Amino acid sequence: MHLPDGYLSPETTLPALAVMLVVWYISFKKIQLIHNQALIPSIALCAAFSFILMMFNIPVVGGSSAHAVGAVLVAILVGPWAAVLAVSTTLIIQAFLFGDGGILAIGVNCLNMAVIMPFSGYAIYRLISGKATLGSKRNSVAVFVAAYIGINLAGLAAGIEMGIQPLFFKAANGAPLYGFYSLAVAVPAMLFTHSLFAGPLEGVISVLALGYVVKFAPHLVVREAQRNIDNLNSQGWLAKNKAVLAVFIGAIILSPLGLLTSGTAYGEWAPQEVKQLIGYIPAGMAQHADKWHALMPDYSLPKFGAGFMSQSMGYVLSALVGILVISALILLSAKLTRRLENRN
Amino acid sequence: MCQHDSIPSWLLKPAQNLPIKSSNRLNFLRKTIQHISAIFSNELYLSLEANKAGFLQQIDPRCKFIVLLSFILITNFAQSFGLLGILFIISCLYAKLSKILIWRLVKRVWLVIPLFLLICSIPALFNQVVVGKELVVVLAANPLRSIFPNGLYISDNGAQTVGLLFLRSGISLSFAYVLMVTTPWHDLTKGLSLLKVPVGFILILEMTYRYIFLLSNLALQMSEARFLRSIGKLSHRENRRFLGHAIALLFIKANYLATEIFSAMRLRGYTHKVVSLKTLRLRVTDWVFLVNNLLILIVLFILTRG
Repeated sequence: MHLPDGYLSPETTLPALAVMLVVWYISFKKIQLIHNQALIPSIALCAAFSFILMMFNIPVVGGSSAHAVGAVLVAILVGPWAAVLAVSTTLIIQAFLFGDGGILAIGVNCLNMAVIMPFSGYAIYRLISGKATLGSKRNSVAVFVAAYIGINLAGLAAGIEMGIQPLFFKAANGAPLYGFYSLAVAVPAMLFTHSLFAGPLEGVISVLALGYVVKFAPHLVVREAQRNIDNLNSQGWLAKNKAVLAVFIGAIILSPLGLLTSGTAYGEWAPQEVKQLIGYIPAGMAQHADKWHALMPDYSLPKFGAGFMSQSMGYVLSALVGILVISALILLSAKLTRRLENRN
Repeated sequence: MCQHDSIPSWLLKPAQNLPIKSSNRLNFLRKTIQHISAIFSNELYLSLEANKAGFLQQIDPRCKFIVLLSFILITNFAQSFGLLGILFIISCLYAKLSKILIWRLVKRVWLVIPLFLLICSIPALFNQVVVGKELVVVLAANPLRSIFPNGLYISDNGAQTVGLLFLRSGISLSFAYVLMVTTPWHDLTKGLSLLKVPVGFILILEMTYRYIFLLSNLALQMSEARFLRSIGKLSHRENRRFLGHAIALLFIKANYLATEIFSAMRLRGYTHKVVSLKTLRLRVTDWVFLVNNLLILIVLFILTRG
């Protein structure tokens, strides 16, 4: 997943570097605020730890081996902000001393493996684990799922960064200037390897490692968990649910990517598309097709016209409305269930 | 209690040196040991190269950092073979002047990531991925054939794309390699701190670098101990369990060390400030190097626009 220089355009790597400068600044401030300087040696050791972790080869099927990233594990052990600094330091040292990953690409690589991976993983871990005790079954499941999804999201981000290159950066004669594999190739390729190999590995190793720490040095994790719970209790609703909101907002912003893909999601065909695919429109589908007129047909607003920007706007708005409706439905059903339970 | 009688017969047999198969289940341990050892040999190699009396070794790390980073930047913007050719010659020239053997540059840079990229890019040479004019025809167009009715050929655009990608990644890496080989790590971080990178961040980088060797040693010992004690085939499950535990043990030890080290630092008067024994001052040669390269970069920049 370490992207080298030359494969991505500077128009991609430089903004990512700029974003990372801001993220590094914020995480530094956070660390100083929460833990003061005492955490600097710990972060350095965590960085060295994450470096060595990438050196460990893990046996996979067929006698071969692969390595884990461990960003989610580090985030669970020392918190996501410290994980940002630790994994970033590792990636910087790898780029400068081992030529692993490009120097201009440091921003992109850090964004994938030191921000997206620990934050998404940590948010999922907190969401699933809830108040379950450390080392319990639910907690272990949470660690596994968090590590699995974390590394897959990082892989997905790398796939998207590679896949958008041929769309935006072309020579006058139409030849791609940088990466040439389109989204339709890069994203499935990355997801295939990560969901089948790297993801399960990352999950298993994270569960085993955390289980060992909980068993033999529980104070290390308990202290952190207690601090997090204290922080949570003293925060408002917005602060408590920040991580979940960030994932939602990210999903909304990324939703125009759907415009770039040429096909329709599997199973979401309109009657005409079904006809193209299988040669006829199933009778039932034809009968019911006109009964439902969407508020926002094809995720766009009729008033906005058909340009890419307006289509993107329509997409973002549709995503927003969709999420609001879904959230409202979930909350409503939860409330109903609770009321029914109380009555019983 | 005497156990002589109960020694199993297989232990009394002379040792047999069986060839180790590549599918050996302990292969992952050997790979881990190799990877960790590579860190030490890399450090040894870098310090040997950095101590040579070459040209770039004499230049101030700040100037070197700015100039070589600018070269990497311009390489990434380059869209023509001519410009990349010039940049390639510049990278080789600096390597030669800094007493880096060219075959070493080829072996450690060009034959690793650029070669891997080149192999991954082979499909892009063909018209199925990047369309363009025919360059080398593999299969002529035949509308009756079920696969490749338009023919299969290496397109000019495909060759151009793959060539640019290969050269760009190789040249960027060459400049990065020249920088890391001619600058000791402490000089690089010192240079970064003088370029106004926050002290805390430099501190983390500096400490991480040292801890890497400490933890590597620990990890190496753990893996070697396990490797030497393992006989026969162990299940994947058992191996994964060992690795999970080894990783966790490393974390516990690292955490213990971190608190110990911080207390030791405090007791020795640590005040959150970085003190370096070496003071860096720009000399005439550094200024000449900086101005010279600035001129080269301006010319190259005009070339990219043209």
